[in-house]
Amino acid sequence: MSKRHSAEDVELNVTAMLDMAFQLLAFFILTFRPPPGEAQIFLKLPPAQPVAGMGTERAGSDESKNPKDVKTTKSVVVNLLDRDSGSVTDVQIGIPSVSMKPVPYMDLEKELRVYFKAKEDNDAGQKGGQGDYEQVVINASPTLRWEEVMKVVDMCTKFTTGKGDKLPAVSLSAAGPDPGG
Amino acid sequence: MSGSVPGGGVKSEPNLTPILDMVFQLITFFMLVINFKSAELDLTLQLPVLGSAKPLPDDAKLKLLVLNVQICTKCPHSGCDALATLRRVTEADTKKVKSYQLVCERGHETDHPQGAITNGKTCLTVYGRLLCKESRSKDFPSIEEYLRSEADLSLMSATPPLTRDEVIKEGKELLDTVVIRADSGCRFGAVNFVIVECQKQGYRRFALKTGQVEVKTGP
Repeated sequence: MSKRHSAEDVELNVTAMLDMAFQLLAFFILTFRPPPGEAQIFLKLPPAQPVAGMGTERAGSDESKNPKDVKTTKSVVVNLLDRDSGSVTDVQIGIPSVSMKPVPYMDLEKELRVYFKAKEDNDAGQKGGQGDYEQVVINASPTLRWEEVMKVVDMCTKFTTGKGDKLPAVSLSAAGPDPGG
Repeated sequence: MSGSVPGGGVKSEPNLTPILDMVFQLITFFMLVINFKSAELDLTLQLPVLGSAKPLPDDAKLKLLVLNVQICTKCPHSGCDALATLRRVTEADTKKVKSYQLVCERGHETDHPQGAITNGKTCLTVYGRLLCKESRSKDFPSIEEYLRSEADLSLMSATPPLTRDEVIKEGKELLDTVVIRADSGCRFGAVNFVIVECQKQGYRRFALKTGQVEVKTGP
């Protein structure tokens, strides 16, 4: 291993650099945290507007010159109610102040399909059918657990009507103020 | 540098160059994969697990405002007036929840067998700070104040820059996406409060975060 040194032969002492490199390595290993596997549901949520039924005139259309019309959004409302249990106990589908149909929570998806099928059939029989709706509002009790609401949001975002149309917009609203201070 | 030394032994020095090369490669790897953005995520939250949610596309150039929503309560530790949040203690191998603890801002840990906070306050976790509906000090602004300051930054960074009046009165929207990371046990009223506060500041785009369903491999 002996070696003859010449004037040009320079050897760097890399030990100090190695020490520093190991310290950096230790820092990066200790702070390394793989990103959690997360997904998301994208929603466009404008501020709440007065809700109108699907049979009323569309806001901003030519017919809206009628003074009775106010700026409303044609909506189907899904009411999720709990009895302070945090879980859904009662579900209603429909248009507030017109007709709200109580449905079992387990059959919510099936009932939504039945509801939209009946609506399509009804609109097909009318002249210039007014079957367009602009949003589905999930109106949930403020004491309901977030997990339960997300299940319904998830169901509505992947829901397709009999024609194969997706629901155009899903909106959220609470049936009361947040009880938390 | 190596060779015979006084005393008759042979001085041996290992060649450190390869190990240094390898260490630098490892450092480069960790520097590239380090993700400082995960600091704004509160990883103690348990997100609702749904099947249809999609991961964020890699090419998405979205500006995100991450909001961790949960419920907090007063620390039960005697003499402590800090706020505490619920933490799940899980088994290391099966990830099943063993028990629940209340962990306060000062680090007190108290067992909480109920598993849920009743009558707690709505709060946001921002880089470890708990923000409530009311301001607690300069460093702990209220949720509304915090969202307004974030919205002001978004207004300034928009192209062309927007003013608050344009957003509030003319209905223009902020292009940032608000990422709602709410604990699955959180009540809906708390999440809705945060969403409505965001809407008041001009945010319209929301991403509701969920945990991903674990894909089972093998038979």
